[in-house]
Amino acid sequence: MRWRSLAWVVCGVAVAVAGLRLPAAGGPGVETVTVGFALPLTGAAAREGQESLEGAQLAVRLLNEAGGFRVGGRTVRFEVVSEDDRCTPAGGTEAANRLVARRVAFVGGSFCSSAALAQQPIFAQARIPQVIYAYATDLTGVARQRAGADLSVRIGPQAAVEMAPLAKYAVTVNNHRRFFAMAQNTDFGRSMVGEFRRVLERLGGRFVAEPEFYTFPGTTDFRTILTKARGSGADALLAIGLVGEMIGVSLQFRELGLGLGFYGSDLLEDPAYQDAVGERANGFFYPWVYDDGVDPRRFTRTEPERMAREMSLAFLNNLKKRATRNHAWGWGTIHLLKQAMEREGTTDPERVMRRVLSGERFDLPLGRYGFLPCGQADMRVGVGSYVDGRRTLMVDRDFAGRPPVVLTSADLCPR
Amino acid sequence: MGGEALLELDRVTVFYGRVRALQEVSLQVWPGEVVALLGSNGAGKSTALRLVSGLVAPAAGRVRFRERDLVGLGPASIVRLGIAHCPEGRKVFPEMTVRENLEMGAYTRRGSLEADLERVWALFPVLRQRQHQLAGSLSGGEQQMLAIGRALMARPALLLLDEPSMGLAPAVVQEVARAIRSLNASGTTVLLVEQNVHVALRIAHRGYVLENGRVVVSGTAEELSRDDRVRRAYLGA
Amino acid sequence: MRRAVDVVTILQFGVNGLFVATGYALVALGLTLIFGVLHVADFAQGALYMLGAYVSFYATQAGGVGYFAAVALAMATGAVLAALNGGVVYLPLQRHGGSLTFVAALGVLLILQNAALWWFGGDFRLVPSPFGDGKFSAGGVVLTHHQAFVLGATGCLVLLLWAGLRYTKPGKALRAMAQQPEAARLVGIDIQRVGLLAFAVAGGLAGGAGALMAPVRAFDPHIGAVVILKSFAIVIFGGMGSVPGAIVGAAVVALAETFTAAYLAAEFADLVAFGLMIVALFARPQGLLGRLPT
Repeated sequence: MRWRSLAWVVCGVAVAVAGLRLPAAGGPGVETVTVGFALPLTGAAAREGQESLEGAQLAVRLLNEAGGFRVGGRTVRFEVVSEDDRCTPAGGTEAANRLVARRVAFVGGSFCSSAALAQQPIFAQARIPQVIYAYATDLTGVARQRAGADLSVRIGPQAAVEMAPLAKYAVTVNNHRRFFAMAQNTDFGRSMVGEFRRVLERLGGRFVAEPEFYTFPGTTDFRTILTKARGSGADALLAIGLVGEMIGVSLQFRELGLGLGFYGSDLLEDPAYQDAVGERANGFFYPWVYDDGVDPRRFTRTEPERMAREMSLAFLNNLKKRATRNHAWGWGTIHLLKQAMEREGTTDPERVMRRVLSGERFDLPLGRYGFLPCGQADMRVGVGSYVDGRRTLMVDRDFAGRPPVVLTSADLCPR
Repeated sequence: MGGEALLELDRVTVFYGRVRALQEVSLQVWPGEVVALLGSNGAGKSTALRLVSGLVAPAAGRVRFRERDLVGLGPASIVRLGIAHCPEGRKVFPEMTVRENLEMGAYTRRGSLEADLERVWALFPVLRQRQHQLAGSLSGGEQQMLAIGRALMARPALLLLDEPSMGLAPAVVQEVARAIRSLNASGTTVLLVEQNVHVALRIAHRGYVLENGRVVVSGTAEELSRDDRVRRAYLGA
Repeated sequence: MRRAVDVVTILQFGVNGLFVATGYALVALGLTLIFGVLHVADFAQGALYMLGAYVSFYATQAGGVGYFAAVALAMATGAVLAALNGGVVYLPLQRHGGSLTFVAALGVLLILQNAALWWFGGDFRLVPSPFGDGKFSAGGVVLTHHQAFVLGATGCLVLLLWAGLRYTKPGKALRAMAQQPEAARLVGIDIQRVGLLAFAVAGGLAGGAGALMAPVRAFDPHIGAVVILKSFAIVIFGGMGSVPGAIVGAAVVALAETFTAAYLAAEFADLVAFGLMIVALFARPQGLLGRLPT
């Protein structure tokens, strides 16, 4: 009896795998480029991974519905495949090996630093270009060099890009200098806290206690850490986590009636955060990375963010929902590759990536920027805050580069 | 004896995994009797009781109680038919009070339990004094009395008793034996498994001797205590 | 620490710890009940906590049901699903041995978790509390009205469970099964029915806990796995199958965690629960208030 059910399971899996492997339809003179996504589709960061994938799928759907795009006289269409890396190193390795076996031309992901670090040498070995979303500094530093991953780029910010302007804003605008820091105990949490501290101390501020790193995933009650912050003599709190943690920290911060300044991760700009916390986030600050032109701002826009607007409208029109920063990863990967292919006139992965790394600027959902030789996007983020329950952009992307300068392109690549 | 048997095993075979615990065992218990199953460890005595109460199922053969086939019925249905099993090792509910243990014995019945409790108190006066004590804190003899009392609460026509004297002091064994005779006198039929053959043959009317899952000798208590094999093997004569 | 003997802060830590304990207690109680009666480590209880939270979310946000009715609905959902799961998956499997049910339990947890991911999406949800932002504040020690409600409701459920186990016939049958399964069968207790009852009670507690916590703890489909691991550690620490052990275990673990985070560092807080579990396994394998098998 048990053998028979096992046989059914094996048959089911075989059929499912066969289904996944059916070749995508392509007409004569049409070239199909397969982009594989290694993302956390289950596990603690499943939502982030699913949204990244959704961004890529919508971008591809719209491009293909429009008949594809022209590259050197040929029509090119994209095809998206995905593997779940569960946000773990082991899952990252498995997902990477499966994508290599599926002979994808390019890879997007991972969202998770630990998974991306595991994937980088595998894709480097296979000479498959990797467009990374995770924030850990090493992905465009030591780890990239050691893996020989010269075809990999990080399409978004790294920790310093986000934390430098936030720390500068805290000290120079809000005059918050005495900080209590808490973060998830991961590469992400630790690198963010470290970069914030670096700039804070350079500008004369300090941490009043050693940062608290809580278990991730698993921590949902932050009251003890917050109670500790209340009695620490700090005048502001830095809290770094994903959206669920930021919601929990924010609500419990209000419950306990902490009279401190509040600085969070970029997940404060997530619609789910806004829905859950709303007015209670008034006066909280965060690094904003994504500007679709809808949020009110306290500065005149220096450069319209065309691709952010395009993505935002595409999501509203096609999926009836607001686009998030996570959607930008997948959407941005597809459009970065498309623009580089169009300019280079080929879909050859090595040549496309050389174009990406040439320093030329591309229109991406997080702004218009190019890439540094170490693979890091040469981009900046601003500082946002909640005013009357609405996200409000306080300073623009140039804030960190204005005197006192706290971030330069040289800071983003290791020497 | 005339009439029909209260309990009848008809060529029953039972396996535990690959081990044959009972092999073509046939036996009868008549109303009003005390019947003893004798034999050494592993002879299949307890298996026979577990078979009757529905804890194990036979591979072959039939088990009839009041002409009704018991095979395939679960223990819960068999209790309702009037068979109560007082298991080896007493198995009282240690974290329940004496009174709660007795109430659990009447789990399948509705209505007042006072008369039944009085009957148990009369049989084992010490349990009345201890009724609010946790069963786990009782002495071995008291736990045995409680286990028998709990079985009686189901108002059984047939009581299955597994090793009631095991591990008890001689004086307590005498008290338990007296209680068994007394409840038999008041109409309860008893099928008794006992290693202590002296005690068993004093209480029982008849007996069966099991060896390696088979009935090797049977007869009245009188006959068995004179049987050479029984005397050599079990009575140390 | 700078103000190590700040009474208000210490009291606040205590209140925080007590509240964390309520979050653990209900799920741990269900786990210990199922384990005691059926010797199944039912990891799927975590999924029922998660579903309870979602039931309260959709009932209040889309169904127009009041929050308190939604908690009752979450309990009913948890009870029905747990009994269904027990009847369809665990009881038939149990005949083949304990390790199979262990694997099945993990499987059911993962299936429900991923099903929830597809149905509900991965967004974090929060149910608005009927008490709004109201809070009690005594000299700086803060307890929100909702937290107070959760503490009270948990207390009532624990009391109800205790009375049910102690005084009702089905409750006594559950205890009998846990203490002496063979004798329980011999007095006529139907193990299938009592087993289903244990699942239903545990599922009700887990579903209720999910709904009670939904306004104070943002949740997504993975919250169940988080909750169940800690609860499992608590049950091992308190004694598998011991009802008082689950309650005392929840309190000890929660307070130990809280004060570790408070006076050492948050990164050690999680180690405490599992550390206590391991210490218990070595020093007292039956757990704080558990019994050795007789």
